[in-house]
Amino acid sequence: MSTLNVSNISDGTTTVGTSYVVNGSAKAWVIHNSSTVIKDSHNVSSITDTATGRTAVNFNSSFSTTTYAVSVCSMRGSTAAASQFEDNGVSKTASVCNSVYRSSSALADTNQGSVICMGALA
Amino acid sequence: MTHGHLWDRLAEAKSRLAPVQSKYRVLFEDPATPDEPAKVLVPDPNWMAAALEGNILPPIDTYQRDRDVPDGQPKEHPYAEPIGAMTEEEAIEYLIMKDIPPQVWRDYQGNRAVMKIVPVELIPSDRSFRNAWKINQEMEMAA
Repeated sequence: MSTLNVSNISDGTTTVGTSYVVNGSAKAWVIHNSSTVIKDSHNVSSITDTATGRTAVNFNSSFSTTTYAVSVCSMRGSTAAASQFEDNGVSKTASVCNSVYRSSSALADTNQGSVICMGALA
Repeated sequence: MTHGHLWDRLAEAKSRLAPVQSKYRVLFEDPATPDEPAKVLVPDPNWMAAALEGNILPPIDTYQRDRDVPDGQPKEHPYAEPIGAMTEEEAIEYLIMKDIPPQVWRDYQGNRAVMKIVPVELIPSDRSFRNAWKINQEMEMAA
């Protein structure tokens, strides 16, 4: 593997610092279905189906702290299901993110769920 | 040559390795939460490809030591020298030690079976009673 050391990236018109690119990219993401088949991912070692509507995402390379940003969304049937990240203080660690899927406020399996995490890696 | 950060190695591996869907799942019950249903661990196909390829993933003991490292402090596993290729069975064992709590696979001393590695076909497709799933305690005896 080779390394390109540059401070800025330019397309000839617009120039941005590489830190914008590095800090702005998702550090972990996964897309899966309710029967726990992972369709695609990055920086994820496994997911754990813990109950109806609950999925834990285990990271390969963990985040430096728990203050990383998470986006969770889902599809249930042909309609978009409400999705909510369970941020109750115990559901997110630097190495595991627990996502929760709801339909009409009740926990429900999702046909297709995705989790995107952004922040600084350890 | 430096082996760089684990995230970089994973990104490079994803660009050249075909994903490998494991034929195994790990069923487990956490003794710390006996009222919760059985959980199902699903190996990631990109992770499995990296495990089978070798020279990408760090030693499992680095993750175990990092469990005790407080948030914000430097962790060992992203920069550890990668290990060689694993078989699928070895990769599942690695994943158990990485992603399942130690009270399930290391510390539990009860009589109930709280963890089983099963073929994916044995996971029920009917999820109507998902929150009542428990591990079948009937054991097959070797001849």
